Amino acid sequence: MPATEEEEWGYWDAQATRLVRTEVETVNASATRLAALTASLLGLFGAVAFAGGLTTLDKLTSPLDDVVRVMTTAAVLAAAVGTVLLAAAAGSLGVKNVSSLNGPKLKELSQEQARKQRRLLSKGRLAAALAAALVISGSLLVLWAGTSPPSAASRYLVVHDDGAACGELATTAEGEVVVAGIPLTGDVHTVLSVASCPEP
Amino acid sequence: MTTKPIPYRFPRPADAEGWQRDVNLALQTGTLAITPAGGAREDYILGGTCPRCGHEMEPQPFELDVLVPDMLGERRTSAVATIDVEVVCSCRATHKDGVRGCGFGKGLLIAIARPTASPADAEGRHAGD
Repeated sequence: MPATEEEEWGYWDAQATRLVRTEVETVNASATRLAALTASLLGLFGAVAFAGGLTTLDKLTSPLDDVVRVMTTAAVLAAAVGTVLLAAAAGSLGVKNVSSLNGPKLKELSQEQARKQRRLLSKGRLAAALAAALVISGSLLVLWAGTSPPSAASRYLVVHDDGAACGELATTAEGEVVVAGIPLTGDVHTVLSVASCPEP
Repeated sequence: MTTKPIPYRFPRPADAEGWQRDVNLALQTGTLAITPAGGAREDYILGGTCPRCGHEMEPQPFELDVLVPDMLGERRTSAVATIDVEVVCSCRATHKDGVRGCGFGKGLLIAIARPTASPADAEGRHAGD
């Protein structure tokens, strides 16, 4: 603690004088903090997308895939909120005018600032903890979840002497390989793998 | 100006109301005055005689509209009609060895009408923009 009131006010006067003389640095520091925050926000999805590094979303069984989608969305939102709040608690993200500034005024404003930043810190910590819990539990869920069986039988488009046919690959009782009932023999010109066949 | 032989005294928060009254009176009577400092910024100078000891004070410069980190900013919704300043006695008379002034005014925020530049000053500033 300062020895005298004069020393106490001397400190606040010096701080106020420093702020008055460093307005450019104040703006620069806010811009730097905002740029860092933007970079953090842009990288968030990569950080919390736990289905992808382990098992991709489309390989998860239903309804687990929907659960993981919801958890990932919640984790991104919680992480974004936490990042913004903690960045604000670490230092102001913008600049404002004060009509006048001197030692006593700065002391008053600083006390108010400390209270504001403490509130931001509490809320930011909560949001960050929620995001971390979602990412960890979601990652474990994906790690231990079963994957869905391979997609339905492959389909092929067959062009033969009498036209074309589309269907599943199959083997007859005689051991003949057919597509949509067309044997893949000499009268077939082309066999193409397709995602689906046109509806009749 | 006659001076008062009064001892050094550092003000208490409870002195704020009386000091506000004294400063208001001094500004009305012109023993204290706020004048533009000139230049391109909103700089002003408070000068005159101390309302407590009556000695001539050193000019006290101050600046309006200082940019600060937003957490420090004031919560204002409309134009500010008054500003908070300190009126600290900085006379050269000896009230306490090694200390300037009669001790009064330090730490007391005084509300004064926000100074505005005269039209001529304003024109001069805009011409320099």
